[in-house]
Amino acid sequence: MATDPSIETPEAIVVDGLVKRFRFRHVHSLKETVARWVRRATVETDEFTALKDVNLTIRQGETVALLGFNGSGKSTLLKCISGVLTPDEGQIGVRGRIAGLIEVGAGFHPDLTGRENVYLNGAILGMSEAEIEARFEQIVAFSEIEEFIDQEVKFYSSGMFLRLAFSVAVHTDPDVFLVDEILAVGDEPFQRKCLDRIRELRASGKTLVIVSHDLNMVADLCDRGILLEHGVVVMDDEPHAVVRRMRGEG
Amino acid sequence: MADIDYRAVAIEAGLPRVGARPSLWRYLVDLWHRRRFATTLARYRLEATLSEQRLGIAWVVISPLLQAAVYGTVFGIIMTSDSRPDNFVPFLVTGFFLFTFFSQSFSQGAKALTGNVSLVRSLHFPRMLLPVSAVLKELYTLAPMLVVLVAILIGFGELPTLNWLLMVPILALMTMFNLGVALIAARLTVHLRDIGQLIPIITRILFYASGIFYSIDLVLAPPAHPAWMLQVAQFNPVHAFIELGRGALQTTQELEPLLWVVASGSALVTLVFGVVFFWRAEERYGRA
Amino acid sequence: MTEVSPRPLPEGMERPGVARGLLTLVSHRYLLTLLVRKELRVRYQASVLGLAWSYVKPGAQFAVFFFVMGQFLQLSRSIPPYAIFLFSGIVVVNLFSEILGNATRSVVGNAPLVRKIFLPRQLFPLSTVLVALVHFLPQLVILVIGALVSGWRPDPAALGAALLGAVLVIVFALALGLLFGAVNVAFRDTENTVDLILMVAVWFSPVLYNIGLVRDHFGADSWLTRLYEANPLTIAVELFHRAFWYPAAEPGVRDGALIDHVMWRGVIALVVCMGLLWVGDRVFTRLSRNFAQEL
Repeated sequence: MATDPSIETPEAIVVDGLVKRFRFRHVHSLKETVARWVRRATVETDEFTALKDVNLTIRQGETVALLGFNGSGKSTLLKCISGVLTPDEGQIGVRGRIAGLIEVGAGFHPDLTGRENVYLNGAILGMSEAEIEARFEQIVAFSEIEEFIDQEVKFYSSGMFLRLAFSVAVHTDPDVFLVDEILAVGDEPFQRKCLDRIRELRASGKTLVIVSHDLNMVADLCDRGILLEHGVVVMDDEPHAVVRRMRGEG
Repeated sequence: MADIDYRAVAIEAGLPRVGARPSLWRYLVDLWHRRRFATTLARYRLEATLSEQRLGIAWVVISPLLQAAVYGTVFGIIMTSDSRPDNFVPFLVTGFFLFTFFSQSFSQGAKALTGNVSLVRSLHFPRMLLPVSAVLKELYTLAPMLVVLVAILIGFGELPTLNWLLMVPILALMTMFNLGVALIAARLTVHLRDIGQLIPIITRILFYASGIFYSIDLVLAPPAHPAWMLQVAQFNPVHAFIELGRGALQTTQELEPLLWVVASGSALVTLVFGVVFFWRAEERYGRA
Repeated sequence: MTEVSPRPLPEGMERPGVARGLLTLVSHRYLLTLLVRKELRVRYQASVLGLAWSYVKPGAQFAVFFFVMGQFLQLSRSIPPYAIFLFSGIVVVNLFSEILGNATRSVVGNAPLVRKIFLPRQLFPLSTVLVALVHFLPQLVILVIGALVSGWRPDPAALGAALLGAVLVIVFALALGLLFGAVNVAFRDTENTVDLILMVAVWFSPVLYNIGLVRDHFGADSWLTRLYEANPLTIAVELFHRAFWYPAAEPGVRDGALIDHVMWRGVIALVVCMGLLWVGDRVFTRLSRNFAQEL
């Protein structure tokens, strides 16, 4: 491990022997279902193990990049940590409030106004009414869409939509942040602003777990890199070293 | 800056307006050329709904059949025997299946544009294809129902006669009528979302007004009710299609000439009106 | 799926995504109100009449039944005032249908949210109850006005029956809604089955006719009649009849028109439905762990 987290720092996330399988339960017609039932068809053919015995400890204040190619299990791991998916074996422990920015704007509804969506999504991401009210101005200012806030979201451009959604997400103030591929939001100035906000969160001692395909960016941003291959942790080191390995340079 | 008449400039440069409404004839020709789109869409929609469910195609038949059974039982108990028509089960099932064809065309046709906003916004094609494919889908789902209906008819002693062939023109007329209704409902729903709420209400009223599980002729028989009520009820097209279907399939039911007049007249008028009504707003659908 | 944890977690850590029962929703009140508001906004967006539709719909339904059943099929003669009898049953069945129908679709309908963010999933069926209540209250107001006009004078027993009936139907519908909503994630046929049940529910309760018809036809002691009388929806409808129709009816008409011991049956049914709700909640909680991957 490159940065040596002091022994006193408590754990933020513990992943212990995590196994996650997916069963592809294709919807069958009645005839097929009966036929399969009669033949006692093997079910295993439909199973796919996305995560095989993953063990991790992430301490408070760490900024960790989850790296790996498509299908390596990064997003599945993130979803397990956020609680959307439940482990098939093993266990996960999290300390403090957790916000999974698995996908920005998942809870946005096109027929509601920007303002209503801010309240709804703040609540979905675990904020209380008072918290949302206290931060409302900040959220809107960050998203830079002040004059459109009372319009229905379906009239927003995709950039405006993502900016507002991201803005709500980064103002939720949890202890642990899970970030999946959301730094590709908006134009370049806004991206820089997002990165600044992430650095700010980092500086204030939040725990961050980031998934991104922009390898250079995450390597610079994070202080630890974890490489997943086919659902197994194969490397856990300084992020630039991990990125070099991914590129076949080391 | 001087005002420029962009429209004149565009016409001068030979640029047609994008998405402009073509003449009705051109529109229909275009529609005919792209008919494959409607049939394919209808087939995929059908497959998609069926593949989500384990019982698949069976639902198409089970649902109206079970409803018919319940209504049949309940009304068999409630109704006095003199208002119950002869050979009640085929009477009920024929009525129920044909009514389902109508009500589904109506409700699905109404959603044809508002339920496909992304398709309408991203591709250019005659919008009429959407309600057409919605009605086609319902026509496809009618096929297995008819198979079951034949089994029920034979099971209850209604053997095939030459009259059964009359189902072809009857269903053709009914499809025309349903399509006309679907086109009108599709355009109205774009203008006024409330129509979506209104449709179940209209359907329910028509359900009881069309005599599915009782014979309108018997229930509204003159001494108990004023004669005009029955006359009004007989001008309901949905009732006419259902009665014609019963007349063609059941020897115990009569085929009245008035029904043919109501059926073919309403089919023609509704379809022509529906096509023109729908076509006139062609340019506005993408903006909804 | 074994629950054996190999090692205990370090102190102060929690397992993410552990589904808890209905009661934990108390801590999510605010989100629940927002979800209800969203549902109502979205449903009536761009609608001219808006919430007024919740008056129009039962109104039309009432009119159809009143004329077809009451007048043409002459069911109204034995149970005047038939309008009150009919409408008090209709509002109960509507409340039941809306909760059960929407709760069954609620998890699948919120698939994008369920797949991506962890929320207590009970929020979705529960919000359908609140939305249904928003539609129920104006109907109840109309019922009360109509009953007052027809000579209804409330007594404590009537108010108790109304309250008991409403609670009973909510608990029963939510219990079934949790069960069907959870099962619907894996078996989409559930939706169709529920639609079918709802379509016929009004006929399997004494809404349009009085219970005497069932007794006469099947025999007072036959198992079909017993089954019919054990249906919690039947009991809820009869509780509403007791509340609104019975005090307005002539003594000669009302004797024996309702199910016997309606209040006691109501209490027993409520206890049973509470048990069913507990079961439904457990099943929902259990199945909710797999919602995200099955949607």
